[in-house]
Amino acid sequence: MTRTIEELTKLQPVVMKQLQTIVEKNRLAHAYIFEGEKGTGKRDVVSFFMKLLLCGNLSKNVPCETCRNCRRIDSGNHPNIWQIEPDGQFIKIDQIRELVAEVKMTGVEEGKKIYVLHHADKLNIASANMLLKFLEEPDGQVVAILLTEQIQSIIPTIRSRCQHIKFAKAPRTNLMEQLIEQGLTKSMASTTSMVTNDIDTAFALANDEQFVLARKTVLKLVEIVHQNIHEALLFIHEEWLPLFKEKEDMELALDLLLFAYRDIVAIKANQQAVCTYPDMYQRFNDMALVLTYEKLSSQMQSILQARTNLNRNMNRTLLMEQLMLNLQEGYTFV
Amino acid sequence: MKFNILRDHLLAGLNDVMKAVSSKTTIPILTGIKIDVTNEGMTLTGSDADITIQTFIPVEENGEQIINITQTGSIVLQARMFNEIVRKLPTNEVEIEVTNGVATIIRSGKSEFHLIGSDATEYPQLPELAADRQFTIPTDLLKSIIRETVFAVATSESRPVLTGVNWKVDGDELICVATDSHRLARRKVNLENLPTDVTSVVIPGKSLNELNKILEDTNNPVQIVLTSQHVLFKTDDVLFFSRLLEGNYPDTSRLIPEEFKTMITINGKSLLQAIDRASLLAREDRNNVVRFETLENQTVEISSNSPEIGKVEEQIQVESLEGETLKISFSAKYMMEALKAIDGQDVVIEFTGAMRPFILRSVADDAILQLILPVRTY
Repeated sequence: MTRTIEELTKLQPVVMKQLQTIVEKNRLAHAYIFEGEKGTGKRDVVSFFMKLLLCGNLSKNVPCETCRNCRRIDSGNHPNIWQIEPDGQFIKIDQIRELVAEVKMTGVEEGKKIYVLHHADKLNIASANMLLKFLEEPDGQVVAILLTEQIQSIIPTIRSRCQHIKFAKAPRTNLMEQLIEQGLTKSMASTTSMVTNDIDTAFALANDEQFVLARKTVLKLVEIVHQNIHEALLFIHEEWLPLFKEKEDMELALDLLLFAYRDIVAIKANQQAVCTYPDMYQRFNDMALVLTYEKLSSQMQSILQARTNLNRNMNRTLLMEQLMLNLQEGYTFV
Repeated sequence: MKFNILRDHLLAGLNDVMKAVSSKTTIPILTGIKIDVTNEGMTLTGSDADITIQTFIPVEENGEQIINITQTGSIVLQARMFNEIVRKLPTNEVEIEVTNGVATIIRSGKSEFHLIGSDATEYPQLPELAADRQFTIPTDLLKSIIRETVFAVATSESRPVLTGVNWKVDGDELICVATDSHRLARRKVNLENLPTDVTSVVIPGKSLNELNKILEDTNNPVQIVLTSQHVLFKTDDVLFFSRLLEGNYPDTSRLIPEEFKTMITINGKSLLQAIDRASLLAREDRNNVVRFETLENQTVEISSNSPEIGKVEEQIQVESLEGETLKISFSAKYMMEALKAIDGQDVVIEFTGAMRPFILRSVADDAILQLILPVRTY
């Protein structure tokens, strides 16, 4: 999964600009933390950054990708680069010890030495402290790059010694494109990409029967509640409550419900809006014509209220019944 | 690339470079050996990133045609595999051919191997060597320098720069110092053509030990080139590169005392043996401490006492004893290693009190100096 520089610039415009400026202005720090969720392209950006630092013929802050250094960074054969992955659950102290011994020597070749710690949050306390000493006072031209998904798990003493580069979440449309490429239907890709930002989780959700069923049930409820409140109450008892027994299930269901109303608002405002449920476009469009912004806003409010109440352990049946009454058109009962 | 080569020459070359190839390396390409064929001959390179060994096999030697080159080129082949293959080939004639980039064919007699190599440009680039910056040392002198200093390097990684030997150029003198902060070994050599731009390098002790194994006991000159990143040792046909240690080596010259209160001249061998005996009863976990005491009548006493085990005392006659009386304790291990490093019969030991470091040197000259810190005992 290597991305081209163009793709990276699209995915992480701020980070890429930041890194290029660092090199251009020659303001290289000795340690960086790259922080961002899974799927935000950290690995590819690291590779880009290393090329930026080592490439022999940079042009306009873009590595050439063809010189010896660039090619060896891609193949993992560059002798001045060390990459460390967690050995099992942790990055162990022996790995750090080896790293320190390596980096304390002059580079095999001229130029900067770079070491990369993947999943730096998996440093255990001993390794973290060992690294600390070395992070603090590097000899020679050494650049450390720590990658992490959970910056809070890195001990503060390490955090404070590194410059932070924060990776923005991937834009939803990119994720959708990838999911569709991997064989999901457009409607499923739209829904899962709304629920999560991570491609693997999205894929798992799409293949999860419970999720598919939940999606169907939620959409059915939206239609029923629009037509007949009594039916809706019956539907809640017969299908909704038996399906969403756990609190997490219920949370997800309410989120999905909220996305449905969000879609209606989006369609009302902009006919070309990117929906969560593109398969329901026609139906939602009809609803959008009937409902006012004011009404939709109060409906979304009540869903959010229900979600808060859920966390306060309100009786589920009552919670849903109240929600149904609030969602129905016409008078507000409660 | 296509050439024919005599197997025994190839094998001899491979033997040398294989010493540098390590099976555990993080850089995949370093599991291979690089082969460069030019019109002058063939160069083999093996490396484990820390050290790199290169050998050169000329096209012709002593009137014998060794290599027959059809086409020049470069390739990287899996070291272990290639070595084994060459070792087991049926005839002395080996033909190696590289077709379309990395596919390599090795033919000998009726057997034919197809090996998949790697691109030679992936292999680490060795530094360019400026021939005018080199100086020479006879092999046996270099070996003795290594022997006299490298044992004193630190083994713990807490101060990585101390795991190396500091080579410092001072005028026409090369000063080699190793210390682990409890003892220090220093060797001075007068040489010509010492470089003036790179004046201080720290060579990893491990690399020097490897070099020592490779060098033969001759007095052929070894050419040495110091650069800011590497040190190169060059014998007739083997090139040995080592990376250096980063960081500043501590200034050791101020550690060596100038004035002394007690001065002893003693036979090195008998002292070494006495300390060896005394250390038998010295406990390993307490640094092998032995006591050293000056007595009347030109004698000193070596003793060691472990309450649970027993004690030993031994008196030795010294050649000369000047200055104050003294009782001092030190590590038997450090003392024995220091004595072993000093060639020659008699050694001079100069003390500046029981709590101050003392030095050992040969009577003949002060090229070798060993400094040991005493151990405080109550």
